[in-house]
Amino acid sequence: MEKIYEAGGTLNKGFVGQISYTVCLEKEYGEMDIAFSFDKQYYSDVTEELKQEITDICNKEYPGETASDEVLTDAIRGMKTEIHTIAAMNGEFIGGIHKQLTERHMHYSPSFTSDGCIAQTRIGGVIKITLVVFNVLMDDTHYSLSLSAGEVSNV
Amino acid sequence: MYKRLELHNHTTESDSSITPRELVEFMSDNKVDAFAITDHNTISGHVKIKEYLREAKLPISCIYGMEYTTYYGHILCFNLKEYLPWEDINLHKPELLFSALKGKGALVGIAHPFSYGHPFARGCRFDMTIHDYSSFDFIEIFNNPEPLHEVNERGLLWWEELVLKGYPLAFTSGMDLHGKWDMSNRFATFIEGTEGGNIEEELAAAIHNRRTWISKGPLLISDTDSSHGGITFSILATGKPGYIHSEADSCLLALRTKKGTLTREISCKVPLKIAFREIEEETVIIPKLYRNSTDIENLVAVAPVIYLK
Repeated sequence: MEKIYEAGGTLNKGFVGQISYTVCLEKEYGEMDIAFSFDKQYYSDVTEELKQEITDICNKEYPGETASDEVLTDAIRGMKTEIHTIAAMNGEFIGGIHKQLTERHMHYSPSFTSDGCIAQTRIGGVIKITLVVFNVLMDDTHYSLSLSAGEVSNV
Repeated sequence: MYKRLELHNHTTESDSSITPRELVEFMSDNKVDAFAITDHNTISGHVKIKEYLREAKLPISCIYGMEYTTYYGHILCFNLKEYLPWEDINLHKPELLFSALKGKGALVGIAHPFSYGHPFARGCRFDMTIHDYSSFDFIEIFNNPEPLHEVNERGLLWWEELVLKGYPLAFTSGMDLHGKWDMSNRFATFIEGTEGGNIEEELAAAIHNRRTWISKGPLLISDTDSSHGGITFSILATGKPGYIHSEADSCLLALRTKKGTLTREISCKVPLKIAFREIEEETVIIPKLYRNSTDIENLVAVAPVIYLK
């Protein structure tokens, strides 16, 4: 497969929304792979400052509820930067990845289609990839995206 | 007949540990009549389940759906034939997505409305501003794995308050299954249906006519007889695996109306008649069944709302 498009970017803490990339394929292919990765999924340290920040948010969002230090620390350790990826071809949905893998592929070929994706007989036309950003924990969270396509190898 | 449904299930197509095929087998082994596939933001499992059901010829039906997992709430959809984009969802106008989905024939409901969302898991709590409560069909009042008081009790009370205000909302429950989890003593949804009946049509009729039950085991059945000025309630066993009724337990019928809640002991074997005057001639009645006490921990079943003229 040849790499047809490559992009990347940086997300700021607290961003909610989507970023879309549209790739116009100039010919039809038998196979396509959309690769996406990002970093800084979890907090590396649960500091007192971070605990206070989350406590302040919780006091606003869930007034009247309290949590022990242990519960709060566990909850913070479980928090993550969450990004979904959705692919459409010629305006039709062809897959969505909800699994929170920091490296993921949306692969389409006659013999294999990734979980979350709908098998396609041919790949062509306009591919739209949308990064659906639910949560970004930290500033300077980097992501990269690439689209590769080619004819199916018989080897 | 009454059909037991499990209406909230995920597979490896999103973030569950079980494949579509394993979901079918798991539900079939648990004697479920029909189950929904409601993966997060994908319908890629539909075709896999259709193919497997065709091949395996199991006595079980699938309801094809999706859990629209948005920034501001999770929306359960049943009878969903195609993926409709949701990404431009407006926090203050969820009705736009609701009506688009309903326009395609889908049944639309709010999943676990009081779950914990931001800052822990954005979107799990329903934060959207609803202007029109007739723009969606149902509320998932029991999402079994969620905390009882903080999430499910609030969901139940929210639905009850909306119903008592006159909004036409059905209710469901779900396992929010992400693996082969124990379903005994958990709430399932029940509807009326026929042997071999079309499950999509039966579910649509049940939701639209607000004829759903949720229960850990037995169903609470009501029969309104205006000529005799009352409603007769009876308890029907369903055979849901894992539900054990002890003879030492008392069963309590609770009827919530705008004016309060009437509670009466009810036998599992003998129907109980409640006269209209006992509920002060109220016209909207929410029947519930408890065991031993009316604490939420002891809730066994919720039956369809009774509307008297």
